[in-house]
Amino acid sequence: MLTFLFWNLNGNPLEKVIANLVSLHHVDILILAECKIPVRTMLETLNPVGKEAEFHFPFSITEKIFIYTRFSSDFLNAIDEDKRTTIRKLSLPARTEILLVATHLPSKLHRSENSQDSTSQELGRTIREVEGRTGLNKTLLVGDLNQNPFESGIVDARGLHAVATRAVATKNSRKVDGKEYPFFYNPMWRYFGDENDRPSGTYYYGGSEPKTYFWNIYDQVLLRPNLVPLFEQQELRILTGDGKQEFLKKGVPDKAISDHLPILFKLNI
Amino acid sequence: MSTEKQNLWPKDIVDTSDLVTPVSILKEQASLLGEQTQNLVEAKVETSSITNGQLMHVFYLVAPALDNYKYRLFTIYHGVELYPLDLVDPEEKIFFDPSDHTVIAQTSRPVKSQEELLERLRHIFSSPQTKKVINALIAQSR
Repeated sequence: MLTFLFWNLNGNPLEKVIANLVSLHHVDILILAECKIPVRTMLETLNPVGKEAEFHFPFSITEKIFIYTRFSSDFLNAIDEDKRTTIRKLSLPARTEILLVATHLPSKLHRSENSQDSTSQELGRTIREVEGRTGLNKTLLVGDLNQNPFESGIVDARGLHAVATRAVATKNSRKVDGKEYPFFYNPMWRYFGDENDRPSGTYYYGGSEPKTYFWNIYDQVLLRPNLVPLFEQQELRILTGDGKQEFLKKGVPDKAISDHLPILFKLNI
Repeated sequence: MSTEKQNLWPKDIVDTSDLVTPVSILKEQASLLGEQTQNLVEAKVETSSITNGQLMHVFYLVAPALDNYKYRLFTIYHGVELYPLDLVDPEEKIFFDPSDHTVIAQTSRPVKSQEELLERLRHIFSSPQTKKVINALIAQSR
């Protein structure tokens, strides 16, 4: 079983909070966006003096995503990257090999909806191309997608093609305009609303525009259908604290910590 | 009725100007990088067709010693008419749009001509970001 944590840090120096979360949840793969913490500082915090170093920083050039692993860097090789996205081959000994895609897509503050759609389409094409090239189709995508699960860049077949239910996703793919597009399963849908006294999203924005969602789920994990049986449905969580402090203030993310809440999930590989 | 063939095609139907396709320009530039880096970092162009009759050309930096690691430097899109084409630049720039008083971040700007494409490529290849990526790949490959 591997435990993943993704968090957009909003540029804040949260290394101690992250170390608390990593310890509390025994995180194996830590994925950070908007991270200004120097790699050396993060490694020193995750690997305290006097203890055997557990965490590593596999080679990467991507500027927007930082990944730390509780295992040797050799098992998470970057194979395709750009400024915003890293695509890694996760090949741990005697475990299922998967593609790990981590990304931070452009913010709505600076992009039109059309522009966001074309970025998602480019990411979708890239993932399909890498899957074809490597022969791997067990792909997990995680990141700050800066679009909600229902927005077109996430749902459109030419984009990420992520659907809300396992039943649909496990049809594997569908043909649109004569071309076959594989599905992603998006388990984040069930976090909308206010059931069970949990946060109703990962990012809150109460703007004055006529159309305002308030709670948004920009931080998402998507899985190709053949990874769904390995995904621990009940272990997917939006975290609201590290055991020492709360990440919410008056019911919404405390910007003094981060304007995004972290997501935690487990994969049984 | 005369049986003599009439040629209705205009004499200047073939464009004899020295216009080179964008992908040829990219491939030529890609072929030149390996020499400068002792083949530690090479460049490669991959082309695919997308919707609406458009072609997409992705310009990659490739590190053969790192299991052919690929870094996507930029992408161009164009239709059959070649120009204007869209170049998705790695450097995100913030522009003020005076028409509707909005600030937008734009990574894609139209390139109107071959001369402009050459100028944009020169700018991307000599940017600090590109140099940083190439040097990181060289260091990691040695």
